[in-house]
Amino acid sequence: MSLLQDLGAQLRATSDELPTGPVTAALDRLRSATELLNWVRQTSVDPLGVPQLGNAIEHAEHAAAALRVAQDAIAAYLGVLGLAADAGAPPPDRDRRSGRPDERVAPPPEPAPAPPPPERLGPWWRDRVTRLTGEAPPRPEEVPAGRSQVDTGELLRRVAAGVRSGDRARLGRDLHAVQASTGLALSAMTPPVLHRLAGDLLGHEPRPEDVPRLRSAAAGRVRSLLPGTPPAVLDTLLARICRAPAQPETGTHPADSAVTASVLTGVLLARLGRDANSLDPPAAEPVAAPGPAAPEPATLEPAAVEPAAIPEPARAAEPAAVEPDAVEPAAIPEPAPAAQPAAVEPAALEPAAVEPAAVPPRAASEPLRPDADA
Amino acid sequence: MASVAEVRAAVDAALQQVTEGQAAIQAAREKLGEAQQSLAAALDGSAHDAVGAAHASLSQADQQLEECLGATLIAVEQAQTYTANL
Repeated sequence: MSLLQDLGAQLRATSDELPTGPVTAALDRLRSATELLNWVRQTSVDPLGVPQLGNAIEHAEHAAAALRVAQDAIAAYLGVLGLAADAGAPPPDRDRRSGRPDERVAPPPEPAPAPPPPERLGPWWRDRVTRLTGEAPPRPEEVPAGRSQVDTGELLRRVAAGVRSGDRARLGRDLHAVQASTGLALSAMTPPVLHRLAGDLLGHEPRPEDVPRLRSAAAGRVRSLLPGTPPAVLDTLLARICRAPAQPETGTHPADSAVTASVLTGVLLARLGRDANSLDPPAAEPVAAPGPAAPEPATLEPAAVEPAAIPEPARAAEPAAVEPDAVEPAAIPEPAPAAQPAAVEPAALEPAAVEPAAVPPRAASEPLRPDADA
Repeated sequence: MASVAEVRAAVDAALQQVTEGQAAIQAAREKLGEAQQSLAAALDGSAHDAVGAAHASLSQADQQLEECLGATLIAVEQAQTYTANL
């Protein structure tokens, strides 16, 4: 690495570590508090601190804007250094910890001047969802108005929430309710999310040899929710996550990969003890009070996971567990390389990284614990 | 029908949100201080306008966060005084 590259890396790291997340989180909290106090004091002449909270929100907004200006200035200076080509590119694992979809992959939809004509793929999509989930499409009167208007990000969150609750009927309803284009777009949105979540679960970048471990951690749950999905679909997804060569797909229905990937996302989220809302790109990063030590890394529960064994919301505060398969020597991983970008990624250094539901990055010298007791 | 206890509980819930916001602001200020130090070390010797702009923006962000924190403290005090007199 040249001196210039080193300087550029430092500047980018500094820019990425600017506390935009905590400021956004603070803004959300202050707005919530203001709304609540406004509701309480609606007819009272006592201000109850609301004007001061308004001032606080304004200051926080200015702070957030100043942070963005600073980031722009740093990016401009990187351009001066001749590093502009990659100066604007977000770091690949910036949102790794939160598991949020990469916005480059799924940019927020821009307001369309006119609604597109209704698609004609509805029956085709619903038939396949029925086949995959075993759940028949709901009758039209059972579908709440506006359900088909959800975007793919919202669909992914709903699927993840359904997976977490172990409710296959709900999963089926959510998938049936959307248009085919929305559902199929899951295929484009999920790969980076899956890669990040798998990395968080494993404690390192997914590698080809991790495929069996991920399969043992997720296959049972995926099969229980999607009894109709071909095993090859899950295998292909896991191989892609781990950057392993995948078997060539033969005759796979396009919906299979999209639906299975979304359910797999939900399973990995549940494994990590994270909430489906953590997939919300605009959501503020939750902030935990600084001070308490990071939770201990835990153990990956053994393979065949029944729905009841998946961490439920009540268990979300427990550290997720990553425990290797005892019978597989390869399951005891090598220490995570501390020098990798993931080990020093900005997001992991933010206060939000100590949120109870989050799994801290595994220490470099800390191997996964073999499940000797199992 | 609402009771005093309910009003107090609602205000307490709002204050809890404010407290969490304050924690986030404090965390942000700590991170910001680290970023300022890191930037100063990396850009020592540069007189480029963009560098000056970055430094100035970070200082402004820190000042805004400080004022934000101060405003929340006053708001909390007012709300607590209100509930104490209910």
